Amino acid sequence: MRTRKGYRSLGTLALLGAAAVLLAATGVARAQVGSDLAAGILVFPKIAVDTVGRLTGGIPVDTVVEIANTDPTEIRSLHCFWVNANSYCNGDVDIANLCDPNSDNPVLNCRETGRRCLPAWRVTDFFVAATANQPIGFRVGQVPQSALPCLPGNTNGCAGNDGSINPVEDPFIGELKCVEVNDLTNVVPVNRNDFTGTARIYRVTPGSVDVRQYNAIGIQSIADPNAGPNDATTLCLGTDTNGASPVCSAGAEYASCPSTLVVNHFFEGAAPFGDGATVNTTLTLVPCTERIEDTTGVNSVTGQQVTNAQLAIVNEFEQRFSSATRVDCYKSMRLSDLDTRPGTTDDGSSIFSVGVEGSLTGQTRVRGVPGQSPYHGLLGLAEESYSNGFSAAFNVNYDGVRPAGAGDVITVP
Amino acid sequence: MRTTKSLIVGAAVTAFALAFGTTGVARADVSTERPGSILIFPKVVNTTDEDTIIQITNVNNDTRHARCFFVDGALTFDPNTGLPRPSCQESDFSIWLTRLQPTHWQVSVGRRIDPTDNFSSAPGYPSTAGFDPGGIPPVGVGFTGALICAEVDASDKPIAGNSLTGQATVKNINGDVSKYNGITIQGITPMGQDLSLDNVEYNGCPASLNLTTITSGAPDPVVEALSPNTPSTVRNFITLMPCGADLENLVPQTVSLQVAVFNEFEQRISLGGPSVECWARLPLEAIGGGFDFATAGTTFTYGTITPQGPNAANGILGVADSVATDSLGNSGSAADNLHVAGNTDTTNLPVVTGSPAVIRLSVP
Repeated sequence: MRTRKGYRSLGTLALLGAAAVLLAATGVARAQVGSDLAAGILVFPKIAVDTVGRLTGGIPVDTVVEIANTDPTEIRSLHCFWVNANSYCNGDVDIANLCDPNSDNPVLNCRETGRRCLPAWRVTDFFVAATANQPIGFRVGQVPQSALPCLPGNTNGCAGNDGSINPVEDPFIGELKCVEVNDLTNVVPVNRNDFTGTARIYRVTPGSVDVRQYNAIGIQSIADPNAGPNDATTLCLGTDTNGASPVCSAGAEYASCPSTLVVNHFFEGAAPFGDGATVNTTLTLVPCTERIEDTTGVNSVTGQQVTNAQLAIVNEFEQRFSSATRVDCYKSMRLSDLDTRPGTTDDGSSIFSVGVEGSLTGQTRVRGVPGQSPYHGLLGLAEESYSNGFSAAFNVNYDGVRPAGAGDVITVP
Repeated sequence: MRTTKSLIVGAAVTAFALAFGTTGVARADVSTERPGSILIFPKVVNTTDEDTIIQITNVNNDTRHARCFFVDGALTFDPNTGLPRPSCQESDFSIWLTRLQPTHWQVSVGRRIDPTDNFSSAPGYPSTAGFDPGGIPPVGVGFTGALICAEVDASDKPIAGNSLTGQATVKNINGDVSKYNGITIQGITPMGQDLSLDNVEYNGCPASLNLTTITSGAPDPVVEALSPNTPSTVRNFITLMPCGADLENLVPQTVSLQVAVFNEFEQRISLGGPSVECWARLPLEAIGGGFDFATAGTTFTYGTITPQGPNAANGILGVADSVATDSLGNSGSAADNLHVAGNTDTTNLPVVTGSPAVIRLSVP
């Protein structure tokens, strides 16, 4: 029989339990996924380079990446990965076979030659270190990349400017992921949140300059910065209870990905300002779970978890529509192509068409399913392209976080 | 006499209150992505050169109500001093959004309550089809300021529904567009018309803002490489406003700033900063000389903007935009949400002292 003392112990236990919950909750809640926060993982969902306009109708495209070390006192280091999502006819990786899966041009989508346009996920990596409060910026399409700047004879920590930017192939479409590591010798992910990032995507012609800008999505590390490094190769975004990743069953290292992405957008073909310029929105989705351990650059993203992204669309009449799409390693396409064939031919019948929806704006909620299982988190970016040649980009909103046990895993070399 | 059972129940209740209450505090945050109970658009303009579309979305499965305030930051002459200063004049309205409903309006036009309006893409007639969220007044030509929306219940009492997100699209006379996310402040336990950003009623303001940018006056790396029209140049602007606002008494709030700018050589180029009263849109180099290419000497710079002095607790919010221009005058602009660092409950940054920022709503 439980004694009075035992009851008191129970009360004490309850309080202790509450304190534990409190501490755990506080710790977890402080780490977030956000594009306005310094973080330990940076995700640039869209990097585009096509300096001769091979796939962009002759319009040159390039991207500037800006990264800053917000730590005011110490050198901090990054291990970065280009995730190359270029597609090739029948997957034959050769510049002559380069294709665009989002095009309805039979030359660009390989159908002229009876082939299929298939992505060939490839990863290459590089390392950079930034001194205290140092910004680093570079044009992605520059080959070779310039050395990181350092004043001649500077002895004020400039030696920390190790590392170099690994150039990408041209054209390039894909993602940049960077993980904060302890140093460039040991390259072990650390419990710190020191980096911010921004990307600008340009389209430049002799008669126009168009630029759009977004912030890199930061995934914050959870643990105390003094708690020691994270696992060397397995980055746990939330917890994973299905047992496939023992490291992540033990606990989270980074914030969980959002449970739902919220995209506030104009419907396709709308003329928002009433001046005749119509708009289309491109949605880019990247998985939170990614196996990027092989950086040889040869079809190196293998065993990628495919996520079904459920799309719920609500217009200004509170009418609800739904659709779905699959995301494996990278997905970037116009909203109206998510539920119709690539190209513009049947855009008018898309549920994202302004003519179908009857109102100018909508809210599209994107959720990786199954929601209660690990490895189905998604991150995203929205870009608006106007018929007058200008564009804008913005980070999509979030609602909620993936539930406990349904975390994501990034595997690095 | 306290019984054993009540002791256990009390402990359990305390436990849950402690756990969930504090979790709520810790979750609250200033964000450009998470839904919040206060939604702020720092840059809203209707001039002869620019116009703005506001998009607001209710992410909640219930109908939500908000009071919104245009705050005019355009300069007028102070009758007492004869000097120009922001009028900080407010005009307010209410919106109702059904479950998950998005809405929008063009600030130069506003939005009438008109259940018969239909979809139109005809030039000069922006569509306002959809459930009208309420009558939304237009702002006059020359309006340069901010929009603040606070989530309230049916009786106009502020609530912590954390249901609102939004975007602003600014289009200029050349047809160029830039877009940024509205800044949300999450509610915890609002207590009245004075919205205290104190981590108790609402989350606190950021301890500092920071941004990385192509230095003002620097050649644009991409235009230089891809365009025949060189040299090119980049110009940067920043829009700043205190977190605190007195929308009842129209008393402009002021915050003094310390701006530190660093170049790619890890050199701190400048340290100084302006005071911002109510609202200001400035060339970036005007708040920190180090953002000027001639001073910084590198293409990229990083800066931190930190409230300081006795009015530091008023906090600071903002948004940046940049323009890349080639030698023929062709230009492209982009907006950029600023990064935030810490707030008053963050332990690894200096805690802002003094009374927390307050957004005082006018009596409905």
